[in-house]
Amino acid sequence: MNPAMLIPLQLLLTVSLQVLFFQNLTLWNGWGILAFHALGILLLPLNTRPVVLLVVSALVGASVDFFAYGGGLFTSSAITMATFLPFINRLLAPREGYEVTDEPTIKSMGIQWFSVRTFAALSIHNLWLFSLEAGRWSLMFTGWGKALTSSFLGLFLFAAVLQLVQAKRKKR
Amino acid sequence: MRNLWNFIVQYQVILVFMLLQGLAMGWFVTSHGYPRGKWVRLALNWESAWQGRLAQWSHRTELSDQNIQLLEENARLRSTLGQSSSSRNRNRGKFIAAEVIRLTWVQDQNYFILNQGRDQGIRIGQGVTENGAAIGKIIETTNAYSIGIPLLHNRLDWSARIGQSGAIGRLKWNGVDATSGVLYDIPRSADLKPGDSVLTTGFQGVFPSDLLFGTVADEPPFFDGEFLNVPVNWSANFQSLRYVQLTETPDKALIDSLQSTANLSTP
Repeated sequence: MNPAMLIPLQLLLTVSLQVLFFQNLTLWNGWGILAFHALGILLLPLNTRPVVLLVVSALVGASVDFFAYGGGLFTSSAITMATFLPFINRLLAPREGYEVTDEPTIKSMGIQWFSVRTFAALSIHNLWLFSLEAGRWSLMFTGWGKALTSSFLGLFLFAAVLQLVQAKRKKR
Repeated sequence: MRNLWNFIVQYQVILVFMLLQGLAMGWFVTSHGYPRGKWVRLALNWESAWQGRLAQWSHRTELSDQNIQLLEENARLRSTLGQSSSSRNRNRGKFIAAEVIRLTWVQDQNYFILNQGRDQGIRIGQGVTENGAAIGKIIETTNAYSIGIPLLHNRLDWSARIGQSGAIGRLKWNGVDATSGVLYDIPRSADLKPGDSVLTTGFQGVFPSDLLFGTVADEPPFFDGEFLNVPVNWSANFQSLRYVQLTETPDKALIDSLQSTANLSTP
């Protein structure tokens, strides 16, 4: 499929899955909450301009908020994650920089690069989200704990989804 | 002009971030916890219609028809209780049956959505009960759906009484355990023991009096100056809510107008 078509499609798919399925899924008594739409943002090309990344993330977050009654919670978290994503990419860049053909996937960059980047980005997203939601200091530490466990859960889910998708592509 | 343009180009990322984050935080501050505004109502309509459709499909394999009939009969019987001539039951009010189609209980400020709205006579401020236990109140309605706040909301106080003639206090959820809350401001002299009923007072106009919130928990109350804070176990199980009834306080408009007169006549 044309890559230009693939990006909106993967954003639409991840947002739809979050709205229709993952937002209703709460594991371990609130310690495992998934933000599947973040995968769509993380899969945007590595050379995406920071401003475009911010705008797309805001739209993705707002779509989830609109259907999940988040009241701006997911929008704000997605924008925060998108702000830090270029820095994370720069920190994890190979010595000679990224190739034009590099994609932010396990297949292209390896499991170690993918895991560190995804966990860092998801942690920023979730720490912001749970801190805002906690709204007071007495609940902040519990919120941060939930953010980190949810980030681990998200990392495993994203890795599993990408492995499945890539395995399918390989078979073809 | 050129300097301004250069400034915008140079700091475009920061400016876009500040603009978008400002909009998001504005949205968050104005709507968090209390869904308000056109967009939220529109989203509520769409989302509720979708959730309602999903529930409809899944119910085809269940005995939902019989459940709804029983629920309506239950609501009718409770309304009949309210029409009793005895003075004790005079303020118990009418009940409308509804089904919970969406519910959260793991957040600090939870909500539920019911499959009944303005067209079925549901109004903002109505109390919601489950099997005679008070569980929350309606905060927003559309024609076919309504959204409410359960007891599991850390910013709401509920007026509650221990037993039918005991001490009155503020019942509040502490945001931690979905099965219990705390009754604040109970005098130290109050006579209470584990298992005592914690009932609605009817003072807030949300519920009729003497509906069950829960029971005094089997834990020692903790002291707060001159008062006791008493742990309370909810009567309802919020993780398995499905069929509920909505209460209506009779003569609410008359009572409210009387209340405003009292405010005006304060010397």
